[in-house]
Amino acid sequence: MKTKSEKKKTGKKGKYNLSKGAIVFIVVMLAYPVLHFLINWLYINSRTIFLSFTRYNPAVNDFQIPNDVFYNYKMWIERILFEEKYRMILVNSLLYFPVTCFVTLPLSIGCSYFLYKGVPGKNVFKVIYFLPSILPVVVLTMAFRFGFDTFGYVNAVLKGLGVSSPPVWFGSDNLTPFMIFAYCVWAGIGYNVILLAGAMGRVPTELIEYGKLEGVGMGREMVQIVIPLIWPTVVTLFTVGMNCVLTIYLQAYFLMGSTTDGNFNTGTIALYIFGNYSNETQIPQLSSFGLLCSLLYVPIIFLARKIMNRFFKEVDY
Amino acid sequence: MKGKLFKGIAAVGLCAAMALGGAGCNWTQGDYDPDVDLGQNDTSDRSGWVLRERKSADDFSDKILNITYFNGGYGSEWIEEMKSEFEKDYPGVTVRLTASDDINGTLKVELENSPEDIYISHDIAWETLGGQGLLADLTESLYGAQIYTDTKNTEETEDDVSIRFRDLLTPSSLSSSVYYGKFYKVAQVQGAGGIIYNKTMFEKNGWQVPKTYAQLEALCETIYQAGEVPFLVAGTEGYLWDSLVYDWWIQIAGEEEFLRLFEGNVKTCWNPAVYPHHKKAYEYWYNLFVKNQNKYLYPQFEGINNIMANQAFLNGMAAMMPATAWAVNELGSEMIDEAKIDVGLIPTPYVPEAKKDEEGNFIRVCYDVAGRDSIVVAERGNKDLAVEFLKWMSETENTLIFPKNVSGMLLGFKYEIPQLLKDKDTYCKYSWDEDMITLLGEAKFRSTGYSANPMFVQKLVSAYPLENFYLRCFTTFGKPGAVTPDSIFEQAWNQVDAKWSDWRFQAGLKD
Repeated sequence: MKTKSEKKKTGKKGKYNLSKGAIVFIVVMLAYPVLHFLINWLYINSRTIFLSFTRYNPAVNDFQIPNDVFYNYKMWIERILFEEKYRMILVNSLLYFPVTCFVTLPLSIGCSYFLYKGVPGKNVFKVIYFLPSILPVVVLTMAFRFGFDTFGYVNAVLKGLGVSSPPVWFGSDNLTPFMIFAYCVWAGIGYNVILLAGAMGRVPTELIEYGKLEGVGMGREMVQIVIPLIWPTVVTLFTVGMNCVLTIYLQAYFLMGSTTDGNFNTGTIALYIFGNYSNETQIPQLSSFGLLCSLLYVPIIFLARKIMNRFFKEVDY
Repeated sequence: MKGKLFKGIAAVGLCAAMALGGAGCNWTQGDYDPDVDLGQNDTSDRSGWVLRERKSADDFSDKILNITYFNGGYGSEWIEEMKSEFEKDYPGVTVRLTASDDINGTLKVELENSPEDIYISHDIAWETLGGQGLLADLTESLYGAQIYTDTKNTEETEDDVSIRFRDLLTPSSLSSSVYYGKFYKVAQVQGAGGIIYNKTMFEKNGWQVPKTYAQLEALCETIYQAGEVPFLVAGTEGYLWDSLVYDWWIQIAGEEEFLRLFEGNVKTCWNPAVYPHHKKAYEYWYNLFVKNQNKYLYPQFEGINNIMANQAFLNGMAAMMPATAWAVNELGSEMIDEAKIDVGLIPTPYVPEAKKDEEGNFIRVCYDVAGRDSIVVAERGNKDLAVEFLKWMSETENTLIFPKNVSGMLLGFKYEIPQLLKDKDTYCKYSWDEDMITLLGEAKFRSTGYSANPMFVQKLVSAYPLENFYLRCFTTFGKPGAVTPDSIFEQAWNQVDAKWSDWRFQAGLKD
């Protein structure tokens, strides 16, 4: 038991044994992140949840909860089930999952591995891969779109090669969504390559050399040594790639001539929300649409992440 | 412990959101009354008009007027000239202009905090912003304000007649600016849709401008047989076909029936068995363009974007394009001059069922997509000076600044068309300008397809409750499950029939 004079000597430090100065320091340093969390996360998300149960009522110029609290959610389920336009938006958005995670990511791993192995001209390739990532998306989409336009150089080359009727790249219900995917793959590889090449650069050379002595070929080296060692980075990129389903919109927006109509099956969840958000009357519908999609999809992301983490044990090196 | 803390924070957050959201929990049914007085005094004869006494700079405590306008479409020359003329007429007043590429994205936040005084842009959600008190109610201060006094005595009245701001606007500009009985905006422009054509190409080949649908069909075939392409349209711009389809719809249905749908009070307006004219108009479009797409449209037009389509048209790769009022401004005068061509406007050719006047002539009508451009005044801005500027803008000589700078477009005011056509050097750079002004003068009815009915404002319903399907018609033609006028209008009616009561409820309307 401390005497009064002893307590005075040590000051009021409480159970964490902190001085006043330290407390002030912690409070000041925590104030911004806590405020940020309260306003930009807690308030915004809780308001979004609340708004998703309301409708804009022109009679009072404000949001009100209709008699049927789940009206918006029921409306979206009905739309997705019975209206082709919305069903296509959902299907099209979901297709970004395999495109990003099973096309772009494996290609990125392959490219990164070849850069890691020091193919001739690797620095040039690094620039080539990364160039799309540093150019503004509007420039990049324009360059891509012009190439595949009816009057673009791709069709000119195809016609030169004797193809009398080349495909309508950006005006076909079946082909155009895949052109957007193709763009995403082309433009998306660079970013992944930088991250993956960085992770591969950390793989201990001793392990690689040991593998060589054991006669391990390049394929086996990539699959059985390098990928397991960079697995946390792969999982992160996989998870980020899965998020595209809910977030991608700019690519389709610019490639389709800055329209948010989702012509030729190019609509996405985020593009629909982006195209309608400036009209305040639509906010409850958009909130509920976003939340419904998140409710259905986010558990899948967590599940995928859990499964991915089971493939390889994380190792420190 | 941690779980409890998290739940606590979440609960507080939700409560805060509810409290700050200010949203009520009881659904209120409104008393929306579409019958607003849109009466106007006669302005057909401007002789004997005396201009109001303008205010001076001394009448305004704040002598700076800030205007933000959309940077695109009509350019900036017209507003810059207005600025300099206004400053000349109001010595001591300064107008500051700001060009913006995206006004709508931040408009509400600006209006709530430190707004500019006037905003000019397309697609401003003026109904909701006005209802929330963020835009100035212009009903009395502007629309009711006297601009001229008509001093000539007529047989009907011996007294001077007040010519108010509202009298100077076209009827469609007036009706598209009122919501729940209040005027919150000024319709910026008036124009018309139709077909833009390469006049140089037409003259070279001896092709005649079609006046009827049959002549348009024949012209397309003639152009095709001559080895040229009749039509070109960008695959991204499907809405351009509205210019033709809506015009044909109005031609067949007439003004009253067309407006009935946009009043939004009768759901059977969407039933093609009861009101078949929209579908009929759509069929005319489908039969000419979709069925003959391989002959009359540029090959693979669906894959062309707007910039390339405009360039191809200027290069003479097609003779015509469906067009809105701003077509020539979008082509760009420098580009047209560089291409060394003249362009003209073909008013939408008459279909056989088009309504005729008492003398047996077809009645000219026009539909205008440009009706979505608005001028609004911020409630928290320099309202008095902003309203004075708009009054000044409505004065006859000042309304002329716009068409002087913008090809073939007029502000939302009534113009003396013969006067504009007489002074071609000033107002008609291209044949398009003259054709457009002539069309606006001839049109007995012009509509922007605007509806102040809350169901339309909330986008619960529109002329195409599902979508317009123009592009789908092209891409699915000849394939199993092809989208056709029958399928489009049947689905649309089924949707309206099933949802009508619910939509009315959701729009806050009494059933």
